[in-house]
This record gives sequence, structure tokens and C-alpha cells, in this order.
Amino acid sequence: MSNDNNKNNSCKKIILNGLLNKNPILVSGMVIAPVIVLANNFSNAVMLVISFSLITFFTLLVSSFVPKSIVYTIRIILYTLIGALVYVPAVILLNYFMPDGVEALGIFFPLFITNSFIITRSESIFFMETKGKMLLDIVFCIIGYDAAVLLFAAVREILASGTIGGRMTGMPAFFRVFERPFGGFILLGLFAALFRSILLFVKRVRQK
Amino acid sequence: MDIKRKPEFNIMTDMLIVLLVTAVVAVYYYGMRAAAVIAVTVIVSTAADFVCLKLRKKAHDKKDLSALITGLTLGLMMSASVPYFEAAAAAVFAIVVARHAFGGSGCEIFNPAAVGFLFASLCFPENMLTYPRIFTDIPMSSVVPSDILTQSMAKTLLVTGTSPVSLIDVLTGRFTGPMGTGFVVLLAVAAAFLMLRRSISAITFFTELAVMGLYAFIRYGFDPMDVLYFFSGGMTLFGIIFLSCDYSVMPRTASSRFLYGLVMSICMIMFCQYSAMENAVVYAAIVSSPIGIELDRRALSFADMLKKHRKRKGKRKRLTKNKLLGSINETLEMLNNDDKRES
Repeated sequence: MSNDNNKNNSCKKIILNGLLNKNPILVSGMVIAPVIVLANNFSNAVMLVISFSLITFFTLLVSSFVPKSIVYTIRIILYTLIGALVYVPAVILLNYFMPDGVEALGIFFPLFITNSFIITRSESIFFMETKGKMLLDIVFCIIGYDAAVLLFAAVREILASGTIGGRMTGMPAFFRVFERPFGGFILLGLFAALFRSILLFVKRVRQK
Repeated sequence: MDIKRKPEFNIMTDMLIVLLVTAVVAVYYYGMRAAAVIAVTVIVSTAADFVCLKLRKKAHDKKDLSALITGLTLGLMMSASVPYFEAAAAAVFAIVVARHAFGGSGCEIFNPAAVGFLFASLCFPENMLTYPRIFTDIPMSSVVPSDILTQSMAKTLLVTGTSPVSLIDVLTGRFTGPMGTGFVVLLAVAAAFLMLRRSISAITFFTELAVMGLYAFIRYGFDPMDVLYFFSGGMTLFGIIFLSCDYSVMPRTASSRFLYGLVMSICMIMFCQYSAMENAVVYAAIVSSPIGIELDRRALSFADMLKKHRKRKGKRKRLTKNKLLGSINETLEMLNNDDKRES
């Protein structure tokens, strides 16, 4: 009975870590460059999220089979090679469904092969947890990242052009600066600060 | 050399006096619309500062006039016809992002007014960079009809290379442009007043003035009128006094103040030379202020290093002196001993 409880608790912890407490973008600040440059509207953000999720999930999944006995330097090179291998079918698949979207992602799409998220997750989780927990962690981390990017892009689009997914929202004034990387950087910083303060507030309330 | 700083309250009071006088002139030239825009920026920036302090759970210091100064500086840099909402948005951005995100008053790494102006001119370029003529009856409504608006004198100078304004108009600021940044004579008096009261750095001010003046002379074919246009239009002189010589971003040592002035001038020259920006001084102030802070740190660590080096050198000298004295004593003793033996 207690074993089951422990299992449930650790699973809950992994899920909450990926979604909230250690959100890859709003708390850890990982893979922010493509978000700042590309996620200036909702449709771009959807493309970004799909490509990131595809490459990251499959690269991490295949990388988990790399044995621990291999030297760290070689392991990192292997992860990158796996990422490059995953990139090929991913680009073919996305080109088939959304040919314009891949072009819009530009250089950031191939750069997902070497994203910092792959290295940190593979090195910190793989050799400590079971395969099941590792998969759960990857899935919820990716969902956390995707949700944050989509929310950020929606707010950015509303502020920058008064639309959401191309539809007018009736905003009285727009701040075009948020379309640019300069504005995106500042907005993401404000988003992260707000998210952290909410987390801190919830933690304090729970403690009380 | 570490320069002693005046109390911040005194510096702020001096700045406030000068800015208020400039605001009075702006209201005289552009009427009550100018007063309304300045009032909006001042009220909104003070309110935003108050709210941010409450959110950060910090006490409000009655002697801290920085939000007022930011609001006034920002208001004077704007067009008298700018919509009120846009002026308010710029003030909020200046206080929230450029001041409180970096730790509040005294911790800024960029001039908040410059950041607010940059934000507004990137968001609303069509309203921020078109200006009404002076002594025009500007309606008090938030949006002003575009038929009474023209481009600034600085833009005309950039595009055509010459400006159709007389010397007396340039000296008194009677040309289209931002509300309170063109009155050269008033700004020169303000700069002298602030330098005499040690509220802005004379080293930085004169370095920037000399380097930019030299550049303007070369660029405009040694025509003194064009050099005057260069300083009065495009907020150059106003920017030097209120943005780059601002006490919040000013380095502490004399050498770093000189270097900061040099860096600021080089940035300004680069922006003027390679971009068609009419308010290059704002961009230059934003780029160079973190460099100024870093220069200060480097200068202080260099001074520390020099002190340590001198101490070590002093020790070595003392050691060699002792050795020399020791050897002289030894020879004297030997000679004494020899004398004793002989006797």
C-alpha cells in the first residue's frame, strides 16, 4: 500500500515538475532563442511546438538506449547524431503536411538537433530513473514547454497586432515592438517573472 | 581619481528645476496640448513607480524624485501631438521595465526615459516622429489630425543635407521637433547651471561636445550653422545633458567618465553615420550606459591593482634599504674591530 502511495507521489512530482515547478522555458529558461525570434504569432508558435516536440521526444527516446558505460564526450556526440537522424523523417513529415511552416522556421528547425533540453534531460534523468518515469518526465516537460510557448505567442500576437490566430480581438491599441526579438525578449522575461511569482505565492499559501 | 558625489536629492532637485523651466518654454511654444502630454507622462510615471514599490513591498522615499524626472524628460522628448495613451504607455514601460525590473531607483543600467522613448518610437513611429509646427492651435483631443503634422527639422537635415531655419530660430528652438529639446540657448544655460552645481559631469559633457562637434564639422563641410542644426535638432544637446550625463548611469571615477563620454560619442557617430535615425542620441545613450558602468568597475579594479603593486614595491624598497643599512653596519663593525686589533 505504502509502495503504491510512494509511486503515485513520485509520478505526481514528475508531472508537476515538467508542467510547472521546473517548466523548461518559464523556470529553467531553456531553448528560448527560437521562441523569442519566431513565436511572434500563434500559427508560428504551433509550427515551432510541433517541430520541437517531434525532434526532442524521439531523440530522447532513442538516446535513452545509449549505454552509461560510454564516455561522456562520446555520449554527447551520439545524442547529436541521433538528433540528426530524427531530423530527417521529421522534416519530411512536416514538409508533407505544412510546407510553408518549415520554411518559416528557418535555421531554428535544424538547430533543434542540438538543443540544450536534450542534453540536460538525457544526462540528468536517464541514468537515475526507470524507463517509464523517464518517458513520463520527457512527455510532461515537452507539454509544459509547448503550453508556455503557445500561451506566450497568443499574448504576444494580441499585444503586437490585436489579433489571435489572425482574427481581430478588438484591442484599442497595439504595441508593434512585441513583434520584434527586442520586444519578445522583454515579454518573455515578464512572463517568467509573473509565472515564478505565482508559483511562489501558491507555495506560501500551501505552507500556511 | 574617485569623484565625490553630491547627495542624490540635491542632484534631482537641480534636474527638476531645469526640466521645469524647459517645460514652461514647451508649453509657451505648443500650448496646453504640450502641458497635457507632459502631465500625462509625469502622473503616469509617478503612479507606476508607486505601484511597483507597493508590489515589491518597498517603502516610498519622499526624497526620491527620480520618477518625476523620468516623466518630465520623457514628456519633453515627445511630439506635442502624441496621443495620450501612447505617452502613458511609454511612461509605464520606462518605470516598470527600465527601472523596477533592474532593482529600482539607483540600480538602473539604462536611462529609463530613453528606454521609454525607444519603446514608444518603435511601437508608434507614425505618431512619435511627426510634429506640429510651433504656435499652431493643436486640438486637445487624444488623436490630432495628421494635416497639421510634419517631419522634424532633424529629418529634413538628414534627407536634404540643409535646413531652412534661420540662426535665431535654431538658437531659440523655434522649429518643428520634440517639445522641449531644441532651445539651444536655454539648454546651454541649463548645462552650465548643472555643471556648476556638480549635478552632471563636466568631463563627460565636454568630451561628448568636443568629439561630436568635431564629427559634425567634418560631416557638414565645416559649416558652423549645420553644426548648430546638428546639436539642436535630433535632441543631441538635450540627450547629452539629460540622458548620457544622467547621475543614475554616470561612472564614479574621472578617467571612466572621460572614457564613457568617448564611448557615447563614438556610438552616436556610428548611429549618425550608418543609420538614418533622427534621434540617434537616444539609441547611443542606451547602448553606451552599460559600457559606462563596466568602465567604472574596470577603473576601480585597476586602481586597486595599482595600489597593491605600489605597496609591494614599497616593501621591496624597504627591504633593500634594510639590506644596505645592514651591510654598512657590518662593514663599520668590521672596521672598528680592525682598529681595536691594531691598537
